[in-house]
Amino acid sequence: MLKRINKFEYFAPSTLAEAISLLAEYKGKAKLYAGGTDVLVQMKQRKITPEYIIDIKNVPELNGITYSPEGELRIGALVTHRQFAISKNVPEKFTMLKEASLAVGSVQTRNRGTIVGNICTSSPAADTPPALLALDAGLKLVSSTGERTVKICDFFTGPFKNILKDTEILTEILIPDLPENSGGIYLWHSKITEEDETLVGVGVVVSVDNLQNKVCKQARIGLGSVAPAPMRAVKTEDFLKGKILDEDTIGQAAEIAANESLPRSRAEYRKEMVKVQTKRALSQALKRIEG
Amino acid sequence: MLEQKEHKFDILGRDYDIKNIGKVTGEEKYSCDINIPGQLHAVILRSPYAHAEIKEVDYTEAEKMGAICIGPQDVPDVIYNERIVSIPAKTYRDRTVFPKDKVRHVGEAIAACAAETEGKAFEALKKIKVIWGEKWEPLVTLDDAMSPDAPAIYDNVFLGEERVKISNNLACDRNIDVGDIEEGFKEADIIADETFDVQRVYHMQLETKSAVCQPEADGGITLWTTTQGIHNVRILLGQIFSIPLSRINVKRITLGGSFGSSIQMNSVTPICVALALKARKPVKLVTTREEDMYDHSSYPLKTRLKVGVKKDGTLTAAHCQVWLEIGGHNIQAYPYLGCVAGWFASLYRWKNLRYEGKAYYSNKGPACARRGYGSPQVNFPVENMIDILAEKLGMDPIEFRRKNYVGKGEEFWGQGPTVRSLIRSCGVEEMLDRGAELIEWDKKSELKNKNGKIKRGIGVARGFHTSGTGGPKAGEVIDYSGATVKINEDGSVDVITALMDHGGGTWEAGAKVAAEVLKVPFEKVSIDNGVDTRTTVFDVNTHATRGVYCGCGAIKYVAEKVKEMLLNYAATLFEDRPENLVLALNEELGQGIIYPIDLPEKYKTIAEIADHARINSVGTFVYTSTLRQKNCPPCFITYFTEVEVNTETGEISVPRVVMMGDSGTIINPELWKGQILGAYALGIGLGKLEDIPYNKESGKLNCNGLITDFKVPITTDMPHTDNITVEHAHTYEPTGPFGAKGIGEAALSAVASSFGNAVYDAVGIRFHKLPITPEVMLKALQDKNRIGGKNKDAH
Repeated sequence: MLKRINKFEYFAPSTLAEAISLLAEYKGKAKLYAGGTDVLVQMKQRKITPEYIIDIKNVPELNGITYSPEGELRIGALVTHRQFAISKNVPEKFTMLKEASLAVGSVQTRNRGTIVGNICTSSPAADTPPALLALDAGLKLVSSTGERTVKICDFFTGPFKNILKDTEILTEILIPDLPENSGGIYLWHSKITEEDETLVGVGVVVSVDNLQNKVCKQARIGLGSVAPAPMRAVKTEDFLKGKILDEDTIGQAAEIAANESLPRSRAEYRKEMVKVQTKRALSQALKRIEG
Repeated sequence: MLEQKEHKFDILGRDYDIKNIGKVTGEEKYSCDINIPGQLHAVILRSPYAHAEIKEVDYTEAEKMGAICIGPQDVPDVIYNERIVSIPAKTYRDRTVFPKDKVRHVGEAIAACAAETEGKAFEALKKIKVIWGEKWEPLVTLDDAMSPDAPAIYDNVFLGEERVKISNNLACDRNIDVGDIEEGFKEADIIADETFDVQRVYHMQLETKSAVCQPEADGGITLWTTTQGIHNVRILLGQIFSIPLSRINVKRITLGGSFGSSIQMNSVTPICVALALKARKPVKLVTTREEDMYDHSSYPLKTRLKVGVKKDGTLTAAHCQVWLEIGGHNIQAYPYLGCVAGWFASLYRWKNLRYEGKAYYSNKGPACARRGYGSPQVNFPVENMIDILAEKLGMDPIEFRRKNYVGKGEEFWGQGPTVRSLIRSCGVEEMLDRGAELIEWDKKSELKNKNGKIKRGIGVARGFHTSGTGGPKAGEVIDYSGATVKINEDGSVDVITALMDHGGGTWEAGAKVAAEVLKVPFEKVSIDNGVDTRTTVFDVNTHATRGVYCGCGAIKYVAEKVKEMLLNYAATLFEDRPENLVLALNEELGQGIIYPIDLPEKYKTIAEIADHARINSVGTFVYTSTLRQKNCPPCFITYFTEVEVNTETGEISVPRVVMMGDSGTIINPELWKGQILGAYALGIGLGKLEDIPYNKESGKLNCNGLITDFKVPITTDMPHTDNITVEHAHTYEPTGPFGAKGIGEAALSAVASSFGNAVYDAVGIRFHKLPITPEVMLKALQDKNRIGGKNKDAH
């Protein structure tokens, strides 16, 4: 019951270069801080005890949501859930990420918390990763020695674990354009009350040949809170490829998704909800292609 | 059936700005807002073990850091019970300020430090060394605690002055017989026998428990602390620390909610006092939510209920057995068992009844009163049982209730078997009829065949609570209130009372009652701030839904004496007899006025009269007294809840509800509604989501005391406001102040029961255990499909 935050030194760099060099200097002992909605709680619970806090809120390069003519959406590390959810720069085809952002916490949390922070914390129950998995997002990681871009499906390694090195900053999310005739959605089921952590989150993007035949060209399904880390439902995706997306196929796909999910606690119920939500998500995503 | 006669009021029944408006503006002061120059900040060392022997607590190193420290060796040996509402002879005592021998639950306080800052106090706290002796496996369930080979949590405790031996962790029991149940069951055509479990939940009141204590030069103390009763805190501190009550002053300060968790003196209060006495400096002690969650919770109740009924719907006998695990201290299990018996006995005319209640110690946070004091816990079994029997009889549940409820002229057990009075006001029938009309009970079956995945149903349940614990004879529970009322020199009025306001509007009610008697505008009556044990007379506690009936009853009694003094003096000015004078409220003047009968233009204002009394050195119109109510009238409640069960996800929502309350005269209409709405949210928590399980190995709370993992319903879990109807019965309680009785605890009693009955109506599954979470529901639905969709029970 000793819930006090340890002593730490606080830095507020104003450039990305400065932030990176601080990170290199205090390697392993520092924690990056943007919204703080996860970091502060973890510090209070003593899950982490950083000696240095590097607050990146004053780094202008990390701001902004931009949509390129090539159809790519870029989201900076400081973009909050709320900012993203009400942004006019986000084309309608990426609405599902807005839905995922709105599923995070309460208004207060969304006002502070960032999408990149949501990814970096790598909670298995996070809301934006399943949507970003379905959107096949890329993540730009920058350190003093260079930068690299990884696919989000290669980012998570376990509960609250990822490939981010202690010298790297995740500066940007890069979401590629969607193929023609695509539709996406994020659905979630909260743990207990309506405003609560997510028990099961399902992000889906489906692309069809054409609207008449509804033959699935490609499907990407991200599942949240049903495995040690956010996961792609690869078997379900493979099953759907080339099939006509009728009620029967969607029902079977939902069963496969439930079977490939790996929940631990409340496992039986979670699997059941993966089935329910995947079914709903696929049919609703399909409806969105039709517009 | 309209009972209410024409009663016209000037002030009652109108809505005003609340008295402690600081709650809205943020300026209100709570215990944790009190700061005294030079104060130290205190923190508490709490046990990480559920059941372990304390060999030694060594704080030498902590003291070297400049902290003031106390451990078991520093606190008095006085063994007490922190709740002194019951008479001493019926009060079990099992604790000292810190345990001297062993800890009995995780989070139990064992030592404390005070330093200039909270940070320094924490640093010092880390240096305290505790040498632990033997450790025992935690007993966290009723079955564990009852097991014959379970480790003993206590060897001996005290009941009154008598030492009693504790065997098999049985803290206490109560058995009651009325009539002959064997004969009763022989008369029955149908007998049902069912077992139910209502879970332990945390109070989740907004304010965690705090205390600020200032030692005075004369050896006394001044204290600000979270409590529902300043006088009982003073008496207990006097006993523990051997200080005369005249040197202990407990300040009455606004309470940030309680739900019953501060009826007893809170565990932090004497710790803060002990530190302040040792430090000879003011000490401030504010607890965290985590600490608070280990400090108190409701009693969980397991009930086996067997009821016999004749084919015509007449009840013949009931056998009610209850078991509870109470945590590491017995705060009030004995009165609780009595009250559970009373709620059970007073719901329906069982004719013959037997009640057997047993309370067991366990290694969990000590359970205490929570809104309803066992009523929601026993109402769930009884109201489910009534529906079960109605179905067996082929009788409409409303009709069956109407036939058997305990109503006007019958006996109500307001506080267990020793506090009983006759019911004089009863809105039960009116509420059943009107509620059925509003929810369209007769069209209930039409709801069912809509939409395959969503099943809908409506359930009814009724309940009540006592208004106070008064009765014709003084029973096991102490009950009286007091007040001072004085007319100030400008005609405004001070009401000085130890009555607490939990946030439900008790102070508004008190001010309105005084205003109504003295015909003074509501704005001119003050009741909210600035009083303490030194300036008020004894008031037992604001609990048992007694604020309006007993507390305001005393205020009315005293105000009437002041009115008499005022009229007597006015009579000298008008040169007339007091009975020829009229006291009236003049809204235009914003004043109370007095005039000779039929000559209203010849008025004098109360201000003029009071000031005349001052200028002529006559004196102040003031009166102080106490009042014991000789009755404990039930305030009734009836809920009609509609539920929607999603058979795919198991989620249950409440799209519509009709809430009917019977409080006699309603003094604060909006706040009265607020009481019912708030209680409904708590009840939905009990019905579908709240639970506070402990880990069997560690004895720790699964949620670790974090509210991120202990969920209570939020606004979005409630029905949309457009779909909530709240109405009141038209009754008048002849023994209450201006016909009023209570509401607060009544409002919670039947929520989960109406919810459970609605769920049964929707899906045909009778749930015997709360909460009905989505998983529980889904599993029960799957089981039901397996048996071919027939109605079933879920345990």
